[in-house]
Amino acid sequence: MKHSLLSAVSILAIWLGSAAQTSTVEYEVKGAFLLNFAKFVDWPPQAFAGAGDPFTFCIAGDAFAGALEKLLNAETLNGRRLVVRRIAPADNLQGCQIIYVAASASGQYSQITTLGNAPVLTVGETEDFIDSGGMIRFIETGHRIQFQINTAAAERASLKLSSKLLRLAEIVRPKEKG
Amino acid sequence: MASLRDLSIPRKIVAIAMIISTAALLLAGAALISYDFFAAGRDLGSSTTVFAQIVADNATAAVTFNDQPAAVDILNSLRSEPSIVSSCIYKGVELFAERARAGGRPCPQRAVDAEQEEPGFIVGSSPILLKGDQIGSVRLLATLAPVYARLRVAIGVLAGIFIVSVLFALGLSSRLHKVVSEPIMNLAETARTVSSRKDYSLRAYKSSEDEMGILVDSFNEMLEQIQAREAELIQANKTKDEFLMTLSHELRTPLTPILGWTKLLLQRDVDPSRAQSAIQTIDRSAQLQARLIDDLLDVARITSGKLTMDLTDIDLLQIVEGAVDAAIPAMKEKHLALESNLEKVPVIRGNATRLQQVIWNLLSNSIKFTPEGGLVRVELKRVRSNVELIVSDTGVGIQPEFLPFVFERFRQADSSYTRKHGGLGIGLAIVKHVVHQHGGSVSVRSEGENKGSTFTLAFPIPIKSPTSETITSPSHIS
Repeated sequence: MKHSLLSAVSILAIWLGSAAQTSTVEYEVKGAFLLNFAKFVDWPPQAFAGAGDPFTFCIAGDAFAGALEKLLNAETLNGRRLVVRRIAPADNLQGCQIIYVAASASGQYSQITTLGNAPVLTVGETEDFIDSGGMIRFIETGHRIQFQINTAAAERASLKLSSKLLRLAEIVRPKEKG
Repeated sequence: MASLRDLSIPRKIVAIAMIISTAALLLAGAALISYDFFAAGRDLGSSTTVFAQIVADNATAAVTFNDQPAAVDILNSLRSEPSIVSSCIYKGVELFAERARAGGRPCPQRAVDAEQEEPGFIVGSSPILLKGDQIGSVRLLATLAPVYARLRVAIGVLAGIFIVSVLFALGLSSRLHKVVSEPIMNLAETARTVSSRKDYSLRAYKSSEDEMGILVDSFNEMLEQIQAREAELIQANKTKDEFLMTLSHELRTPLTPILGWTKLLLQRDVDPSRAQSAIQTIDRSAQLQARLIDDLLDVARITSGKLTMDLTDIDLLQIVEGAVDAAIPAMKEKHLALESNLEKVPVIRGNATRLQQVIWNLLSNSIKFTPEGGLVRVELKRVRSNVELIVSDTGVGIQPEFLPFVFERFRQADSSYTRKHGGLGIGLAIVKHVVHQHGGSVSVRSEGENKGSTFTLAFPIPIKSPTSETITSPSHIS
């Protein structure tokens, strides 16, 4: 079942280039990546309030359209259930382990800075995401979806990113505001 | 090729050494090479598996995030490992990334069972795991070519060692020839020369202190014995020839007066007094010859061990007196003085006739070898547990070098045909034999030529037994 899922993802990834830009397909790939990021990152214990707490993916903006819920329902991570939470601009971000900020919600970036050094992995897709303090940003190179990682931001948040993940990523630093 | 049996000894040794060393070399070589081969194969197997595990670990993210170039990069990191000729990464069961070099195999499009072997290659495989779930697999093929190359080098080295050892063995062979064969051939050559030339004074050359040396020593010792035996043989032959001549002469001597006087008697008108004298001379000469022949017969009996004698209790004084009396006419004829000093001695066991013969032999010897006007001394006395009879004279004596042979038969100090004194040289041999038969001993002493000689006979006095006491007169007991 896992294999079929992965192969489906890979087929989608290959198809991504040749097929017309369909946001549904694109977000299915990104959703799978999001789940995989969770597998290559270690959160410190204080990231969870209790032992039975679920692993929460907080989504800002109109991304994934229900596909993510479908993907995560079948999985667990380190014994935790995986749940999706849609967040509005004023929402409390307590309990989020991953925050995904879709392009349509780029106005909510200010929320990220309010997190301080809380152990939350932030993922986004617009060009200024890293400069705004985000950790991982999806980029599209030709036919493939790749990602940039701001290791300094992840380190500040006490998140341990696997070297295997870093190897695939483009390591970036936010531009100095000046 | 000649069989081992017919090879020369050094070649045999070398052949045996070569067989053993070749067997050892082959066994050791085969063991080492096969161990090395299997160890290399095993090491290659485990290192290939380790590489597969490393690749699988490194490729986890690349497979997860579908990053094919990254996966190929990981496979390219194997380029410094020449043994790995094919490397395949599968995402799920589909081929995800591959790298093959010359001599390798293209990767199957779908993942095969990890245990599946590939002929001629070592397979190393590992699952790609993400959080305990298998998301793909890695399969590496390592070539055995370097192992085979190593095998060929090892066999080459082994062959080299073999050739060197063969050359060494051949070198050793010629060296062994010097050490082993040459002494044997030398010995054989000496033996051949000895037998063809009959020259027993030759000796084999001893070149070592080993078994060969012992053999040479034994051979030389044998030659020495043969040489001594031959010298003895020559001497015996010479003695026999001389004896024959002496014998003929001695037998002829009494015949001359017998024939002369017989011729005279055959004439007519012989003066009765002359006839009487002739008959006496003939009688004396015939008796001389008879005694000569008796002596010869005695010697023959001694030689064949047939001269035995019955022993009874006898009074030696009586016998000596009788013998001395019988010798007095002959001594008077030669104007010899007699000094007789005879004591009464204990009874001994003996044969009177033979002892008389012995004493007569000694006396006539003294008379024969003592010039006119000389002195013959006879002494009989008891010395401790023996009765001793001593006959000495002032005659020609005996040269020291002849002393040891005095009692040997047919030996005379002067054996030349032109010698002054007659006789066969058997009288003293008979003396010795008879005295020995009595359990006694004989000895001779002489200060040298013309200094006279002394013969001493010693007879043991028997330990008295009750039966002998009855016959023995009390006066004889001391």
